[in-house]
Amino acid sequence: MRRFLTCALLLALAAAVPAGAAFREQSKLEAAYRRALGAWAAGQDEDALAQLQRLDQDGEVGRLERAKLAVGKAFGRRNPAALLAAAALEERAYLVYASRRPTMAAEARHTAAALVELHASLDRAPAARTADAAMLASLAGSAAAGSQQSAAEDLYNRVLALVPRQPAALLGLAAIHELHAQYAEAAELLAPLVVEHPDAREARLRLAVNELRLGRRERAETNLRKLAGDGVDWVRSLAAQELAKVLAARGDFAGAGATIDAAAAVLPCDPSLPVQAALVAERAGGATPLDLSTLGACGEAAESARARYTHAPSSELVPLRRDIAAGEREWRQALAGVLGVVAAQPRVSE
Amino acid sequence: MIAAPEATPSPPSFTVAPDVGRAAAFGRRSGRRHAALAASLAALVIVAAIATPGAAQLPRRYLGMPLVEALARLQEQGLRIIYSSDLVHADMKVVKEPTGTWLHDVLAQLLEPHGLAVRVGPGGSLLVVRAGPPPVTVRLTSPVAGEVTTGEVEVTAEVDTTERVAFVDFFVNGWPAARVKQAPWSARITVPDEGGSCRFTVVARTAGGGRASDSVITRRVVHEDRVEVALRQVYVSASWDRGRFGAPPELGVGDFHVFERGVMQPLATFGRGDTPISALLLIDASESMRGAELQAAFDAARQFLRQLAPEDEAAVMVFADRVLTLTPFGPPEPGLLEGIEGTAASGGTALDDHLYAALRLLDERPGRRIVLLLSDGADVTSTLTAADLRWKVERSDASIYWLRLDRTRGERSFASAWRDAEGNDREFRELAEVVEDSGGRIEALLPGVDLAKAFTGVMAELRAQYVLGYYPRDLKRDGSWRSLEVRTMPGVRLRYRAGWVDR
Repeated sequence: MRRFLTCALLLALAAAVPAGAAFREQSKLEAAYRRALGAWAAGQDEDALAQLQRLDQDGEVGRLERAKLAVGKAFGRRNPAALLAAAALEERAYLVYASRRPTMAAEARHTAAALVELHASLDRAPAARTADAAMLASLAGSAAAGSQQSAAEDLYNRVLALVPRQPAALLGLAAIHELHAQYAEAAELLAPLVVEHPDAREARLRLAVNELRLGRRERAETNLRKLAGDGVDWVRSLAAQELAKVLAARGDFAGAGATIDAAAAVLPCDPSLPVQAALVAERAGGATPLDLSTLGACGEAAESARARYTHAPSSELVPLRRDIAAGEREWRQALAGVLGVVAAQPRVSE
Repeated sequence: MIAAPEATPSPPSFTVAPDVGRAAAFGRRSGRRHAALAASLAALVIVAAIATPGAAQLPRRYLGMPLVEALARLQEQGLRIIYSSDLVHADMKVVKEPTGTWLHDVLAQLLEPHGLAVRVGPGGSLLVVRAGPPPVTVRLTSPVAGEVTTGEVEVTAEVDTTERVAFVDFFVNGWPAARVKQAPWSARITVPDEGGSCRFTVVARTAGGGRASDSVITRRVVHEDRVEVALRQVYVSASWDRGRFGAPPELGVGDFHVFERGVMQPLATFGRGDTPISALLLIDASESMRGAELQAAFDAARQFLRQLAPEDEAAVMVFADRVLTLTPFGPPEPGLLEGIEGTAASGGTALDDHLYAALRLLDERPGRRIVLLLSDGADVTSTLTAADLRWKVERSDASIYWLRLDRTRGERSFASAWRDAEGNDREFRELAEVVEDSGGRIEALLPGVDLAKAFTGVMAELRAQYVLGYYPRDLKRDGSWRSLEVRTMPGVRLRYRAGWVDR
């Protein structure tokens, strides 16, 4: 009887060992993730990121995502806002990994998006929906800035599923269409955005540029003229450059020169303006010198509007990220609450 | 890489409860017999969690740490910080422990004692910039506004600052004319012989990065009795045609026949490689040139300057999507690169814009004009196009030599916000044609190639060039295109500019 019982116990143990090992591994991952989240909630950002990185580089991707979501589900039911804090940590990690650790970056991006969508499923209030859309759009903006266009496109589409016509998503998607030379699709996204947000200058510029590409010259020129005559920003500079090109192409060098000069008068540190002014003047038969002394005086303040346009659009992300930063303190408090840790306090000088 | 924080024996600053509790509950469900085992497992999990290195950390101390290292840590935590080694030196240390909770606050507090600040750049990057250096003022004291200036003019400035003045640049009509590195702040500048007014500008820069400028506008004496010298000089490089290597044969004046619009022109002058050179070294310092490649470019440029003759002149323009540094034309000494070699690579590439600027700068220079461009150039930020450059090249006497760092081994297709892949390919092909039409050439350099050798190759070609001069007939100044053809003996291939615009 004793021998039989020993054998039965050994057999049961043999069957339980693999399942137990998996369970222990999962528990270990979850506990490590909770520790990282605890540090994040407590305002120990670098410790949180370092712990998360150790976890991310050691863990197997699929299992890692499952463990993180299991933790998220556990505390998300108690306070969904805590999920947004966890997603913010994953986005920060994504930015860290993006340039050098593509696999880890992809995992962080997926997890961040999954945590936000978990939050969306638990809290359907309009304010929560806005926050979810902002988080996903910010993540998409980071992906686009890192040339991860298809990931960005997917995330922007998820944003629009949550909040149709969300400005950052429309602008971001339009920029991706531009990269694929899909100018009609880009214009289609930008047109309603410009109607709803007439102060969205980057969107207005991108719409005008795409209309120009689509041969809608009159409308494009009108819009470029408005943008080139107003504001003190890179949008004005680029609108002036594009308008001057249109004018020079039909032989109106005087108009082109005046447009560029007016922009250069308020934006002396855009490097493209003096170059274009010099060419326009030369083509008109004048002898306007190429003035590089202004640029010498600008130093680090020199900024190329054309380079700004080439990058992933960020103008609609700026206010959105400001809102996220404002909300993040509250989300971290929620995370601290569900984890039972002391929330972030201002660090005291030692 | 994120630097893993040091493990500390300190207790955790947070508690781990819910999941351990879940594990314990799971143990209870498994039956009484396993309760002790489950409890032990749970305890082990807790112990392991506490004992794991780095499980809990004291706030990071920055005090005394090299500033570069502190910034690297913030970068590892997700801040996209961009800084120049000009601003953040290796010997700078953190002098005050930051008290901020948020990373941006920490960054600002780390930089502040060093007179540095943060500016938000493209794509949410954080640019380290100088935080308002001590004020500097500069005033042009000579010539004075309205004065008549002609020929060589003494230009003098007064600089007022509490800091060391790094240099003072003088510009005439926006073009760099002289750089002075020590007081007195004056230089002798030759005023271009053009009608109308003349604008003198002075830009003073302090060691701490402060800048100030001043300008005056003077009048110029217009010489109406100019003698038109219509001699056209054609610079011709000769090599064996395909299939033959080695130096081509020595060619004499009788071996060349110049045709303009198909009509043979009698040669008035003949020479070889002895016309002084005005060289503009155009160095791409965009983001993709960061690190060893930019340093190699500067090293090669120094070699090139050494090989120029004393009667030659040179200037250096370092660019990205803006001019990063520009020197006035001067004797070709390696010292020309002094202060330039610390230029940090950043930003995109505006190749067409800066090629145009280089050609404009060379318009006013004497002798054989060449642009020596070193770039890995995928241009996505120029406002000008290859067609604009073609227009300019047709009206310029300068030849373009492009040493192209070819990382893609010929595969150039890429899409950008401005053009699709096909458009970019078309633009690149047109630019290549423009370079060849200028009488220069493109040399594609694979990664790891000896840049100095490529520069030396260009110099050898320039020294071996034939210079054929003729007087064109029926000059009309009507902007018409005068195509050129130069013929020689069979088996020898000639390279020269495609023609010129009668203006």
